[in-house]
Amino acid sequence: MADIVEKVRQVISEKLQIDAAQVTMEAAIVEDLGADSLEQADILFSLEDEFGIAADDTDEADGLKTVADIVSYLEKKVTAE
Amino acid sequence: MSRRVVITGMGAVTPLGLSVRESWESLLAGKSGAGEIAQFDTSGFAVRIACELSGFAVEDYIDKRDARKMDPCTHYGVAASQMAWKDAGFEDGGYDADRAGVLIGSGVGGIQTFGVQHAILMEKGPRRVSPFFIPMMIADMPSGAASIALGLKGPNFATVSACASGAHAIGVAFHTVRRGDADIMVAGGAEAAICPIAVGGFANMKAISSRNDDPERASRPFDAERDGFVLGEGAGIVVLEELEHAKARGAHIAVEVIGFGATSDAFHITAPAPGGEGAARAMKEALRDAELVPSDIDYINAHGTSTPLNDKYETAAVKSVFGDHAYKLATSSTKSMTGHLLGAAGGIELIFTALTLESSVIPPTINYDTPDPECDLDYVPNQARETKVTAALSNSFGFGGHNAVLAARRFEG
Repeated sequence: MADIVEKVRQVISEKLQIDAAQVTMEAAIVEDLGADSLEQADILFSLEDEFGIAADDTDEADGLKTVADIVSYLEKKVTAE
Repeated sequence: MSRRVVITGMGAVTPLGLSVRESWESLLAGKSGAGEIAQFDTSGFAVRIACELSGFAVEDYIDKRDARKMDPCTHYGVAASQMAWKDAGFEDGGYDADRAGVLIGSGVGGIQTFGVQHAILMEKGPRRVSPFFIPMMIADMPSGAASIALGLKGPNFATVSACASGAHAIGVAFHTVRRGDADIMVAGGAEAAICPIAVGGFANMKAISSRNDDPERASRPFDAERDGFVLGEGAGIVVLEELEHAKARGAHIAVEVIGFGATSDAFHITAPAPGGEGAARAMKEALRDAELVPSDIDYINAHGTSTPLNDKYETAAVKSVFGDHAYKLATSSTKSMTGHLLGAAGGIELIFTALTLESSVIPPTINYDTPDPECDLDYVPNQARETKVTAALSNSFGFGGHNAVLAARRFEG
């Protein structure tokens, strides 16, 4: 859990070139952190790759809005694997 | 009276330097930009040499967050555009953004990105292909990204005509300003094709020199021992501006673009038409467009790739257009030093042509040692030459049989 949160914050801050402190669990990737739709997808795909998640179901990843949404999506996937 | 178009800014990143001035000084000194390829492991490659940029740091020009969504060809195009814009003195305004456009050509666009992402597709599957792959790869992106960086809202697109892409971009931009569709056009070419898939492809065409043990002497246009071009990379961008617009704001004006000729060989996908027939018609068209006669031309910045066929047929084309005057004018190939920047070549070479007109110094063709009976013009061998140059042509020809010739003249009011 802690590993996933840390990694998500690190990837988001690196991709968007923002301070990791801004990447709170409640922050919305687009509205609060300023990502565009391509950056949002890039963040998700990079994290999936990082955690070795098989990319067979794209629907589940649609609608992820906040940092917490991404963390819980990744947790679910990592556990399932 | 028709509108006149002048060059008011120039920017370049080339294998000879990361500015116009540095590149020009290296040219006049006869320095080669060639060396062993450093940006990827060339083990197993038939060709292991190229003219690469040295010391280019993208963060000097583009915000890191934006830069990672761009292919190197776009990095180079945007960097050179910013330099040209600054050189023109537009940093603090003095223009209507709706009347200013960007037209940057590229031969192969984001081919490095293509190679990297294709490998990811094969290795990890479609879900891992970057969402930035398409915008990074498409060949119009140097033009699109430069318009965003400079905030220019006039015409914006790209020309694709292989090694003539940069010259077509400048020619079309010149006509755009002349006919009144814009007052300012940022135009030129950008290329970054020194990557495994491109080097492999060019090598298998036998288009590039395999003189791996002597890279600085591999690009030898018009020399009897030439065996192909040397790949180069970078960008060359000019700011074209309507004359009265430039005068009104007190811009430095040294060179006027006066003609553009474009033709097709309609002959072969890669080989030039025998006798340089299509190239000759493009030179004639540029002269007609410029309202010049052949004897007005003092200098030709040749396409001069260092391939056996190009140099032979370009020489024949010059002779067919200029007759006896072909032997009186000077012809040189700056590709002997920069290598062949493909779609960026027309951009940097118009800049070199403009500097020749402005400074009255002609850059040499280096590595010219052994005359070829079929190449018998004055190629300004090995040493730069001081002589007054009033009007000049810059030739660019591309795979597909595309011929683009630009005519320029020293500005004298």
